[in-house]
Amino acid sequence: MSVLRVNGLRMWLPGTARPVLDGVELSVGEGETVALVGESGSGKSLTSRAVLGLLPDGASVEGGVEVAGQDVLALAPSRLRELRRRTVAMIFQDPRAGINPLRRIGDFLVEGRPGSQDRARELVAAVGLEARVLRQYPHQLSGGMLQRVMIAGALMGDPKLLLCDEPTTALDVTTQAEIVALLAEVRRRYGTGLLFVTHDLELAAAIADRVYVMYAGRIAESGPAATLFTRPRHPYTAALLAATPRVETRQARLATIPGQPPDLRTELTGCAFAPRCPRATPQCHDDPPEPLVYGEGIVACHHSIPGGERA
Amino acid sequence: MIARFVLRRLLELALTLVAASFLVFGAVHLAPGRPETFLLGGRAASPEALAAIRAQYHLDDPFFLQYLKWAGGVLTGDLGRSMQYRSPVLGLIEARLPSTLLLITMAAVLVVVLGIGLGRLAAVGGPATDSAVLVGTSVALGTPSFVAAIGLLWVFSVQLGWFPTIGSGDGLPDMIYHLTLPSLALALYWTGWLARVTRGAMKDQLALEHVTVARSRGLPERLVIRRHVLRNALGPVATVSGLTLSGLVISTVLVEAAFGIGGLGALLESSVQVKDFPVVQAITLLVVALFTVTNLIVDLCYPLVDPRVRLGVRSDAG
Repeated sequence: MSVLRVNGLRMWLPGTARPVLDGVELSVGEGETVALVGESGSGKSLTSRAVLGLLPDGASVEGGVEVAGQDVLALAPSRLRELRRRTVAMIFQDPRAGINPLRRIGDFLVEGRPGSQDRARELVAAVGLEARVLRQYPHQLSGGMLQRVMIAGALMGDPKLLLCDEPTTALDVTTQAEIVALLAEVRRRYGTGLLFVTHDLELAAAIADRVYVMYAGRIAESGPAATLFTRPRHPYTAALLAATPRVETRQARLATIPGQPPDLRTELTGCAFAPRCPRATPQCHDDPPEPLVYGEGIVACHHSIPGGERA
Repeated sequence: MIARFVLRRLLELALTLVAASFLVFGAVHLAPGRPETFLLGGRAASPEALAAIRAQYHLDDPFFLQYLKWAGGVLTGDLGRSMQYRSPVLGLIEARLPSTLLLITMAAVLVVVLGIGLGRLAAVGGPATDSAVLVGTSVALGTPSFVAAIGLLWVFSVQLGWFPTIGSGDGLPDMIYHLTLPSLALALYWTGWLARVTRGAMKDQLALEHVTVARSRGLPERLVIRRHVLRNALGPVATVSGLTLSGLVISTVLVEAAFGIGGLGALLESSVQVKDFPVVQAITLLVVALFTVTNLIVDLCYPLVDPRVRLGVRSDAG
């Protein structure tokens, strides 16, 4: 039973030549942690926001987003609000920008939920904060504390699915680790499904059960975290892993992926990664690859790496 | 902390008033024309009579001595005697204050209610409403109050006969009735201004992430707009509202003349015409005082609008 199922989600923005999301397929099981990784602009944040029914101005969508059996994109506004209150919640990247600076933390938590003061107190303790923060204003707390507040706020409605949109990117490294540990605990304690959007592969490998790799609005590869990161099949996944700086092996120069992701003004005829791909053939430029199942994983590539190896 | 802040601001306010009073006094005396010419009403006068008048109003004293005498009088509540009316300035002002005060209050209420209301409508009402409000406020900003006054008089008093054309009425209800059109004419420009500021500040807030977060948490849109967008936009709105009040006071000069209201604005206007020094000085100083006091009140309100503002502390909170 999945708490989230995204079926062939396509999204167009005004003034672009190709869909910004192009047939995204993904699912999150109950209590499962799923990571959605990709570069900036790959569409991972748009995907997670679409799960909440938050679409950019002028966007048109096709396909389905089902949260706990309800089609988010077709819900009436009042039903959508109810879904956001009770079933799915989101933690945003920058907690300082995400919490109204003029209101107290306590007001933020109980907002729209009359009589939930006790729940707020309980959750503030659960995320490791003192009760006095309830009376404080956001500017009196650190970034890490505010992200804890965000998490408490997201848990107020006891959601089945928690969307985490780069929840540690705006924080310093030690705080990042604390927040990740807290999210893992939240999942254990409340059985919440997590969709973790990040560009940090190491983090994805550490926290997720399954991983989706996104490139130019499409899912390039998905699979269990363990196999996907040790034996990538898609050349893009392999290139991403190769480009991840490592502490253990000192490198003279950081590896990079040559070229740039395609921008939204150019139409894509074949595989989106073909122009940057070492394994590309003429077929890759003309023919978009269909997703193929390999064991527990799915790869959209004409020349996927056999048996999976580091490129 | 707040007491110290207020004390410091009051001291600054006093210094501002001293500087302003000197400038006002100097400007009035530098302006061309001689008051005694008016006092004589064009009649020829003997040099002795002229000298007597000049002595009565201390016109032959050195400039700085004149200023000190006047400033000393102001401090003890003596604003001098009007040359035009031959009576104490304080009495003249007191007699005219109620209608002007009521006019400004009515206009201020209109500005705040309509300005914020229209700004909000433009910010959240969709592109067509937004354009309509922008066009409307452009017209409001481009229409001088005396033109608005004549337009309103022509439509509502002359053509429709709904409102009186002249005077300020007796008793509060009658005064409100008489001052409706004048307050509209007075409010027009400032309403347009406040509407634009409100619209801009709300649009700025709408683009911020905390509004997206509020929506993502399933709050009704009405609540998001009121509590997170409008509420957070109040900073600039409060600043502009403070400036508006002093702007209204100055515009009363034109509007009172257009509607024949015997208020402070009309008194200032006629006093300038005949170089009635003491009256011009007193009213101008009153306007400056009103301006500085309003700004102090607005500053004191900031911590209510934004908890990050702490009075008297240089804060780095953005």
